[in-house]
Amino acid sequence: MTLRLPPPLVLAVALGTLALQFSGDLLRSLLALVLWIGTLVLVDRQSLRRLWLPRFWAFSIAIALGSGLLLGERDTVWLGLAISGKGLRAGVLMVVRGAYLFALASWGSRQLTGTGMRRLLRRIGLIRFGEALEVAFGLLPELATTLRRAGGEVSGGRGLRGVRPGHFYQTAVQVVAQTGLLAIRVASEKARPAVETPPPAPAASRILWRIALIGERGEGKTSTLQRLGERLREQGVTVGGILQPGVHEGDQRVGYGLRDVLTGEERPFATKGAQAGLGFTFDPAGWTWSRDALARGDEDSEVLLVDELGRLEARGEGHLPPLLALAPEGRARVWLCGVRAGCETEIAQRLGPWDRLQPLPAPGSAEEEELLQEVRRRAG
Amino acid sequence: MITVQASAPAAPPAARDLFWAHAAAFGAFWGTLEITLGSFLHTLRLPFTGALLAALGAGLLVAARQLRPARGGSLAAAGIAALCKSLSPGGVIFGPMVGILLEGALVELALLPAPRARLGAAVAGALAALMAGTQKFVVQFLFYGGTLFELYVALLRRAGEWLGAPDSGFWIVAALLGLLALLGALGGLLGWKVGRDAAALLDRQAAGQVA
Repeated sequence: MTLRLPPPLVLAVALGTLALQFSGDLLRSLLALVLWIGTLVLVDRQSLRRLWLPRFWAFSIAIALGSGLLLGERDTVWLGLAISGKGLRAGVLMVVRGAYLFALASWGSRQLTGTGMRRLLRRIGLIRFGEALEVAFGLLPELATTLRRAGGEVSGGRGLRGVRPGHFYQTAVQVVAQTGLLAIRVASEKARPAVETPPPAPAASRILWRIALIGERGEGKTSTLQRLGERLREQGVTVGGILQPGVHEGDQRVGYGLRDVLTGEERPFATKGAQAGLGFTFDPAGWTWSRDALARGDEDSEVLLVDELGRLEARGEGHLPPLLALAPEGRARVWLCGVRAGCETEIAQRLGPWDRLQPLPAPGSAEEEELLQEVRRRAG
Repeated sequence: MITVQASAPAAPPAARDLFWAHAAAFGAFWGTLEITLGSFLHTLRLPFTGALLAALGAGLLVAARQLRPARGGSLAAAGIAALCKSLSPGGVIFGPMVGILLEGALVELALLPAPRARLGAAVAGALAALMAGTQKFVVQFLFYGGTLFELYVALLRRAGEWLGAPDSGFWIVAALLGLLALLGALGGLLGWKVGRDAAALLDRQAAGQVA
C-alpha cells in the first residue's frame, strides 16, 4: 500500500538526503540512498518501477569494476585479480551516487509532469510562463497533425525515396510560417475580452458520470461514440445527444455535419474556410440546432453523447454553453464525450472534473467491453 | 456565418502577449518534434541522434528568431519544449528535459549579440549540437562525479598505448567533436535561411500578394 505523505515532507526528505551526499563519504551516500529508496517504497512505487533499466545498472557496475582495475595502485587481490582498493571504493561511491540521483530524478520527473508543473509555475510567480505552457500543451495535437501532414506533402506519399530536397525546403518554410501565424492567432485571442463562463455545471445536483474519450483530429472520436451508442441501444439503454461527423472530399475533410442521436436527423454544420489551413466556417443556426438536440437528449435519454469538444469549448465557446445550461433535473446519468486531445484540462475547468478519462477504445476490445459495462451500470 | 481561427487579428496584440505566444507555438513545435521524431530515432538507436535533433531544434529556434527577434525568445521556447517533453510516455525524462533547456540557453547566448546574423546562427547550431553530443558525459559527471573522467582519460591513454600512439585517442575525440559542431552549424544556417524565407512569405501574405 502507498502512503500519502504531504508533498513538503517528501521534498524535505529529498533535500535532506541530497545534503547527505555532499560530503563524498561512501557510508553517508549509502545511507542517503537507503533513506530515499525507503521513502519511495512508502510514497511512490511507480518511480521505483521506472528504475528498472538493465543497461544503466550494467554500465554502473562496469564503471565500478573499471575503477578498481584502472585507477590507483593495485594493492588488493580480489577473486585472483589484482585491483586498487582505493579505485574500487571510488567506483562504488560513483555507483551509489548514480543510483541515488537516478532515483531522485525518477521521482522529480514524475512531479514535473502535467498539471503539477503548471500549479508550481503559478505558485512561484511564473504566471505568464505557466499560461504559455498551457497554450503549448493545447497546441501539441494540432502541431503533430501539421508535422504529419508536412511529412506526407514532402514525400508525396512515395516514402523516403520520393523526397526532393527543394520540396522539403519549401515545406519547412511553410511550416515555420504557419507556426508564426499560429502564434499571432494565439496572441490575438488573448487580446480579446474573456468569454463569460457561466457558473460550474448545474447538472451537479444529479448524480452524473462524465467520461472523456480522448482522441486527436481524425482519430475516430465520432465513429467510436457512434459505435458505443449503437451497442448501448442494442442493450436497451436510451441514447441521445449529438454527433458531428466529418464531410470528406477524397482524403480531405471539407466540413462537418450534425446528427441528433435520438432522432437520427442530420444537417450540415461547418464548411472549410476560403483560405486553406485557416479553419472552418460554422453555420450559426447549427449551434441552436445542436443546443436543442443536447437538451432533448439530456431530458429523454439515459446516456448523452457529446461529440467534438475541442479548442472552442476549451475557450468556453461552441457546445460548452448549452452543456452548462442543461437542466439540473435532466434524465441522463452518463455523458460520453469525444474530446480533442490536449483540451481535456481546460474543458474540465469550465465543465467540472471528468469522472473518467481514457483514449479511444478499439472496437470489440476488453477496454470497450469494460467501458460499456460501467456505462450501463451508471446509466441504470 | 461565424469564422473561427481567423488569420488576421482585428487589433495588434500586445508585444508581451506576442512574445509568449511565439514561445508557446515554437516551444510546442520543438516539443512535438522531440516527442514524435525524437522517440522514433531513439528507438532506432542510430548514432548521433541527439546531435541531429539538437541541430534541428537549434535550427527551429534560429528560424523563430528571424520571425521575431525578441531577446529571451529562444530560452522561453526551450523551457516550453522541455516541459512538453515531459508528456513523453514512460522512461525518466529528466535528462532530455535538461538537455533541451541547456541547448535553448546556448542558442539564446549565441543569438544575444545579433539575433538575425548568419554567424550567430551557425555558432548557435554548433553549440547546441556539441551540447547534445556531450550531454551524456555532463549527466554522467553530475551523477558519478569527476572520478569518472579520470577513468575515461585512463581508458583513452590505455587505448592509445595499444595502438602505438599514446595521443591518438584524444585526436579521435577531437575529430568527433568537430563533426558534431559542423552538423550543428549546418542546422543553424539552414534554420536561418528557412526563417528568413518564412518571414518574407508572411510579409508577402500580409501585403496580400499571396493567398
